[in-house]
Amino acid sequence: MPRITWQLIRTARRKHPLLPLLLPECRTVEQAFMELRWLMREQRGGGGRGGLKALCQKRGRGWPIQYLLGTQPFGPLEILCERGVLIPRPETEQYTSHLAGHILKHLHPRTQLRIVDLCTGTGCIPLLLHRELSTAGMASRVLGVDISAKAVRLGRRNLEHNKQELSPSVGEDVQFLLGDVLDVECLVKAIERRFQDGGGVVDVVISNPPYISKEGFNKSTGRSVRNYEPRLALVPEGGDGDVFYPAIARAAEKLGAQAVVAEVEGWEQAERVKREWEGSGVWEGVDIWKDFAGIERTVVGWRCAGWEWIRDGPDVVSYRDWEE
Amino acid sequence: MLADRNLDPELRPLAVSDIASTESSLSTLATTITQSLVTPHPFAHLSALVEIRPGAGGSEASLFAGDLLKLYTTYCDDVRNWPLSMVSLTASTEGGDGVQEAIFEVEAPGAYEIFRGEAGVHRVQRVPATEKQGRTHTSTVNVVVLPSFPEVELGEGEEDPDCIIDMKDVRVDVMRARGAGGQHVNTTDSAVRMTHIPTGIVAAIQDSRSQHKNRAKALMVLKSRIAEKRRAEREAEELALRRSVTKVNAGRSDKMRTYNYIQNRVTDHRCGFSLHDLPSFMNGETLDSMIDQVRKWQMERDVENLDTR
Repeated sequence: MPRITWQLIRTARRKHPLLPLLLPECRTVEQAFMELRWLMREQRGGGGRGGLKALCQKRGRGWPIQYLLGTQPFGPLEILCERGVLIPRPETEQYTSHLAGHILKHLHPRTQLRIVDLCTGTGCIPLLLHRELSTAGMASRVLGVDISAKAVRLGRRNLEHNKQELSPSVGEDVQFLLGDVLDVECLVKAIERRFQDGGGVVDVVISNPPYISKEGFNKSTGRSVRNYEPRLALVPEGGDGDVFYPAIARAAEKLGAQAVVAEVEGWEQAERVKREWEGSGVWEGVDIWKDFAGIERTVVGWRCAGWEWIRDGPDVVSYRDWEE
Repeated sequence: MLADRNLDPELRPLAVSDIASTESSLSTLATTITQSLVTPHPFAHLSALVEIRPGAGGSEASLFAGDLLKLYTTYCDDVRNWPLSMVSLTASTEGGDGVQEAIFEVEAPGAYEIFRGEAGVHRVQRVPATEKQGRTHTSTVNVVVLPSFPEVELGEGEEDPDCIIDMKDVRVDVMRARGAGGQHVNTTDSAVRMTHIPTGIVAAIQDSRSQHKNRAKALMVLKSRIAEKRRAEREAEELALRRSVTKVNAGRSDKMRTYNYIQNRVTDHRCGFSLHDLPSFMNGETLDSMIDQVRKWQMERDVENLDTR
């Protein structure tokens, strides 16, 4: 992290008196100015809590801008965010819309897809998947599961909040369920009960579980993440970042899923999860998707050769700075 | 073979008869080669805008301008069956069939390719109807031919064709979060940069927190920049074209074609081709054969230009 110099603060102040307040979190004048504009827009929209200065001070102390503004865009959706529930990430946005596009390309349009999202948080994944599939005319039922009652409530609120952008059937098609992913037996029974009416089979299990280890949490997370986002959504109990993946794969297997898709931290964890899933002998193949920055972000497994197409990930398309 | 005395006498007539057919196929093959060597004119497929103005020679020039206008209108009507619409027609102040200026559009795809050889100075040598003493006058008429670009009128929901790009040509980059990404950071990196690879035009948008919206906006900006560039290029080309055709001096000596009524002959000085029935030519009946010869000449010249490059 570059130090914030006096020159930087002076440049910022010349541009706007409130900008220096944002520098500790935004690091560059450009980023700070952009965030200030977003905060100002929020003020004008009447949704402000406290004055602009108070918002800037909070942001400078590390408050995530998504909690201050109350939302995070996710594809064409606007996802409500509040403390206690993980903020949707751009990587998740990328592979979720990639998965939807991939499904539309390879499956028959009359398919009635059943998807389960484990550790759903804000419900961003179920809602975006349903939105993308239904816009292209494909019917789907998506169930979002989370251990946090707050997350389940927020998921339902997000469904209501995005009703205009979603298809009219979303109320029946997308549901949220309180459940513990690590208690696989119980979880599978609860999911089967929800899907009972149509044969009880699930096609895809997707998940963005807590995957940061205890050491990683202290070492490599951002201050804003560490201090303001729920640890429950980031670090598994016990501190081992890998514990969710065998459970996700087992749940997928028991639910008869054709494919399993899970976000990982990157690098070694991607390889570890891949090996673990391959070792289980359940999956015909396992592969890794990179995200836009070229980091191993998602592990995918497929049950039969007919689903092998799922191995192809999204494009790596990124740059660091405008000057680059 | 013909010079070989030992040759079987029966083969000789066969060889002789081969010469004629080979020679004739040679010329068609040469034409084909020429055609394939010369890249078609970029505006060959367009309609044509033709402007006729009298040059040197006063009222006789404007009379002949009227004759040329009649030649082209009958040619379009009777020979080509092309719709012709008069854009502007100014009659001569001296009355009669004289024309001060005539601009018309031939609304047919490919009309520009046919008409562009007509551009230049047309010289007429005849005894004008107004001449009392029977003297032969020499006058000129200047013809300008421009490609006519289709007017873009956008209906509702229609896209400006200048904007149309193949998304395969567009590289989309998104701003990368620093460090490990994923759950480790929560910065908003929604900036999008699009590059149109064939033109190198770039649109970068970071205004919204929504990458989705930034993408849509970047594409819009990219498209309008490409359309702007395409329009500017086309306008420059049109301008260059207009300059190159108006550069032709309308003097009597810079003629590209002469209509000699006394000798009942029309000669194109560029390709050296003459026709000896002026009345049927002026009715548009034989204009086609003249245009063919001019196009052949143009093509040969284009090939020569290839050589020197």
